[in-house]
Amino acid sequence: MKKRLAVLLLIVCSLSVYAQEPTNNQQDDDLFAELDDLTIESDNEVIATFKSTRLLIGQSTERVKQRQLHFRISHVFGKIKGIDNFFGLDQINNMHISLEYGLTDFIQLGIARSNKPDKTYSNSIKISALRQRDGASPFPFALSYFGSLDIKTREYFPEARNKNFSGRLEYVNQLLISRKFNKDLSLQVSPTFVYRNLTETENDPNAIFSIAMGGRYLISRSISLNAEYYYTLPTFDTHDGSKNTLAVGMDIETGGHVFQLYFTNAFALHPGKFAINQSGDFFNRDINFGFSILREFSFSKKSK
Amino acid sequence: MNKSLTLLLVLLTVAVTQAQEKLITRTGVITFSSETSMENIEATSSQAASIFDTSKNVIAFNVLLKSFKFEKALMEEHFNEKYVHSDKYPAAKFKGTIDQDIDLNTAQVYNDVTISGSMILHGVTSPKTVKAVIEVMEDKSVKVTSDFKITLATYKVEIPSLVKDKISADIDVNLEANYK
Repeated sequence: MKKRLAVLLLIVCSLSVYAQEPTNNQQDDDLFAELDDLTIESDNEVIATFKSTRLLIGQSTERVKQRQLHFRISHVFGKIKGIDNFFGLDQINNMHISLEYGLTDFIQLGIARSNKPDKTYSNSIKISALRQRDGASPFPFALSYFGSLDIKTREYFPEARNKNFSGRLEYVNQLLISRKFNKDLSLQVSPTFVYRNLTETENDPNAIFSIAMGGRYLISRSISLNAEYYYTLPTFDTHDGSKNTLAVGMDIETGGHVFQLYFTNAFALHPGKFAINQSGDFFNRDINFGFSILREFSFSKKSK
Repeated sequence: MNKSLTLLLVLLTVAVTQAQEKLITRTGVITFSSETSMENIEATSSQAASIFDTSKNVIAFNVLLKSFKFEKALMEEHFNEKYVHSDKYPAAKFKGTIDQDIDLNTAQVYNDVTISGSMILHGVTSPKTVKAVIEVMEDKSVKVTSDFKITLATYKVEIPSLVKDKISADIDVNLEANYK
């Protein structure tokens, strides 16, 4: 009998606990906590490390996503010397057009053409191997591979040089490693290897190693300050430290477009030319103004 | 002794039935759209989680902002990075009370249901009342649909002047959830 009473008491107790109405706030929290458990988790990928697939003139770890097409026009003008050449704007050093398409979210294919100096066509691939993640299973950085096969199509003299097709080829390989440290600051390091089948003179090296460093800092929601520097390793006699490429500028993003404005000592806008220690002397005022305009188009099935 | 055991059993059954009165879904579909003369923007998430507690007439939603898919990848990125700051405020939430009793045992359509409660978006909690349609199906599953508007300013979602013509100040939201 005593046992029975005890059981009954226990039940009544538990019942009364059950019946006790939690406060409204508690109820909210409980329900929302339950919902949180129910919600399908996101992959917690860190987004918007950079505003564009280019840091300024070099590649960033950002990619063109699946079924998206990026159309980009970039210019770099002549040396900023004074009003007589309208601060370089009278003269265009390089006119670069590129189309990049996202085959999947992780593989991007591109074609590009640079007019000067070699009428170069570039065929590129960018593979996003690892993405930075936060949340429950974080990963500290993003890693991509960028590779490009460049074909120089300008007329050469003498005739023999002109007919040498393999001599027209160069290869660009880059590992892009970036980390978004906070919502404003992102940095990137990119070991770069350029191989040219045929060089202008015998003293020019075929194989050139560089390490690119760069980053961005957001100064408003739509504007970031960017800089990048291509340090070329002094593995050849003609190496000149002052001819490494430096670019300083900004991203301005306006919804569907990203504008990039920069000052650089580079004359060309494809890595086969700017990553090989052949730019102007930045500190001797061999500085050019350049910009690029990026427009994104979508071929997503969702589009109407 | 036997009596108390029976009592316990009864109580347990009651507890179990009560648990069943909580209908859930993990795949509610929420679409929002902004229409201006310059540009129409639409995004959809099919990962809205919801609990419909029929014993208390309470319904709650939770959707991760990163689960919304846009036509343009850049838009999706801007939405998360610049407008709703989904790193800081990952989810939009709603909890409300239904103004009438829903009988889950009879197939029936409740056409004019009012749900009043509050919505949390971008770190701002604001009272929200919406109209909804609740359908109880033959197989006892329940479908809830609702169309409503939200005003971005209410939730302190700022639109830069540069794109003011492209993004509407009021966003149309369409919601559909099928509960089991």
